[in-house]
Amino acid sequence: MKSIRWVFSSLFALLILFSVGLVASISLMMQLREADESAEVLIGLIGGRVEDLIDLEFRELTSLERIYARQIETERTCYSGNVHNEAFVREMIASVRTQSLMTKAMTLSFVDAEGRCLALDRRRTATPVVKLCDLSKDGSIRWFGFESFGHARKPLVQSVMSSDIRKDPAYAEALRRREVVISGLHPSHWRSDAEVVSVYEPVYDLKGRYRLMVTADMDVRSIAINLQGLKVPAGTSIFLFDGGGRLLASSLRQTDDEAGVTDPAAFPLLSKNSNPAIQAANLALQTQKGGYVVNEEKTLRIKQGDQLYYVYVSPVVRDSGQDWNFAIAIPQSGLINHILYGIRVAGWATGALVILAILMGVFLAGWITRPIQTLGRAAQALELNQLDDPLMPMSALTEDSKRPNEFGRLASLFLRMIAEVRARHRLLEIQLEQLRVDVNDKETEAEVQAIADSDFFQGLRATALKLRGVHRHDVEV
Amino acid sequence: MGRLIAIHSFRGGTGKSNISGNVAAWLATQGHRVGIIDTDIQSPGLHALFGVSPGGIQHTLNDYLLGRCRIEEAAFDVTGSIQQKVGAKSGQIYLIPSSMKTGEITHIIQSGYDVGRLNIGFQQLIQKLELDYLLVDTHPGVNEETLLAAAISDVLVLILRPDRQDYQGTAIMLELARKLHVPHVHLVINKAVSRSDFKVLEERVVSTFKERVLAVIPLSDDVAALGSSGLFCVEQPQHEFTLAIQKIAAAL
Repeated sequence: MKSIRWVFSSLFALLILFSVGLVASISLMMQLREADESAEVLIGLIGGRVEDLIDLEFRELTSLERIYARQIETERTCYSGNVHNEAFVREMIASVRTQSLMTKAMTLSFVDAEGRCLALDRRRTATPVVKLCDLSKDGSIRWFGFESFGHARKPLVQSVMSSDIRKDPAYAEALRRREVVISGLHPSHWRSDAEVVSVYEPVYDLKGRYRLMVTADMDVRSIAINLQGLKVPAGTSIFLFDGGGRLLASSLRQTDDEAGVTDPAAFPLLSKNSNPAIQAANLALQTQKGGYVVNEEKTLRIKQGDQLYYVYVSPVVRDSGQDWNFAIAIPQSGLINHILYGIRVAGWATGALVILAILMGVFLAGWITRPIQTLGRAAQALELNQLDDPLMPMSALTEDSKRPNEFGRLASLFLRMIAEVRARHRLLEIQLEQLRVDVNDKETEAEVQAIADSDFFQGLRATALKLRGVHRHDVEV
Repeated sequence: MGRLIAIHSFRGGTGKSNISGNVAAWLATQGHRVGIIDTDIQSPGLHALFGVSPGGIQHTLNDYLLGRCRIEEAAFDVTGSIQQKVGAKSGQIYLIPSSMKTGEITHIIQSGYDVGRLNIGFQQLIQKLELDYLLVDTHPGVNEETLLAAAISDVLVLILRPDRQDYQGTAIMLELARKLHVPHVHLVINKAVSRSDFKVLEERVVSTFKERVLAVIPLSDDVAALGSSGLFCVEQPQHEFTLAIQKIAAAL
């Protein structure tokens, strides 16, 4: 006979295994069937994150510029018409130190009416620097560290402004329109090895007189760095491109041209890129969109060699006047693997949960069936007429009788029943003994003989008749 | 002439004293003059049944056996203990208790006494107190005063419980009684269980011992509850225990 403990536990475990296995199988089948839809959903989700990321970069750029423009406009700084004024420079240094929007991708600069320029720059330097330049003179730039400004007689570095900032069309447009203007991509005025987007805002005093131009630059390479930081399925390429098909930034570690030469300042054409995913995206844009102008988000499919690619394209930061788009190209295998990876992780987790559930099930089954086993042993012991330990599990029954449930009541009932059986047994034994009127004649005879042989008994016996014959009224009082 | 009735059991705990006291009380309620003497010197207990406290006793059997008093001086009229229940028409009942004082018990056991004096005492009691019955509650087992009581008694009632040891002991006592030519020997089975077997039990005991069984008294929780603090037959005259007592008394 198999113990209920093992039968119950096995059934419990099998039931859990079957239930979880069934759910997991259905889930897997549905996942695989919906892999195609999942691919679009997944790629859409990644697209949303990329769009948010680029939008955030632009919002931070304009926010940075506007904070300082408002401060100067409302005369909450010590600006007095000269951006080289030491107090003003120190004030700006102190402010930029705590400015969270001032990242390593940003440069904040001020140009006063006399052509004096001040820039606060954190790009590609070990320590933040303040740069001073006077366009009315030779246009040379003197670099000072934030800490050493005002103390060092000589600047840390001297360079030359690559182009007159005042001649930037966006600068002139901002002055003309007396409002914020965002430029397109252009080489940085402050350093020649960076392509930046600039925000220009002319600031006027309360009487409407021009005071200075506040400018914030964003290095487009910061977008590439952020794209590279995204966690995406293997083989995925995310890249930013403009309406001319130029690759502006990419999640790939480098933007190389056809010859494999890295040139951060140059923007190679998508059509020249050797990356298979970018090539597939380029082909999809050319064949399915007719070029690089994207007006709405769209998921395309393109076969490149023996690989199917999902390509998500979407316009971005159009409200900032840019003709930028971004694309996400994922090979189907990578996407499926990504989904399968998720399924595998879920599978392992499910497996671990199944094992845990089985262990708990076995434990629970043991806990539930223990009173039944105890009652079974008690019933067997009763059948064998064994009312005491070890066959009769009295201690286990006593323990189970404390349970506040049906098992407890059943165990209590068994205990009472055992006590009653025990009492009846005892009564039966007594009844049997009282009816067993056995006398050992030899023993009786021997004992009687021993007493009868005593002098006292002999004397008593001899006088018994005499004593009995004595008339009681004759006894002397 | 009064009858001398010795009530004995081979082992202690048979309910001998309880039956002796109740039989004596019942006989008294029937208008007889009854004496009951506690010869269980080593462990006296009869006095408790009659509600007699040790402080209220002037002389005991011990005093008589040691020559300190006459036997009738040790007789204690306990008729009052039953009179309230049975009314003024009752007879008389005298208790001759043994001493309950430890020192006196020890003294008489160590120094011994003249057993023959006990016989004289029994006869004097019957004569002086004009007794119809003198019941002698003996010490369990076999000793000199037990044998003497048996030898001179008109009736020997052996109380036994229905178990192997008592059957064996009763057989010995019965054989000794026969050797002493006791005129009448009767048996009383006390503390028997399972009423449905009483008839069979009685038949088997009679068949084995060849003597009359006066009663088979069932083990009773009511009797146990009262214990030795009173006379059960007076307290509960309709109880089956009392009916058994009546049956025994009638046979005497």
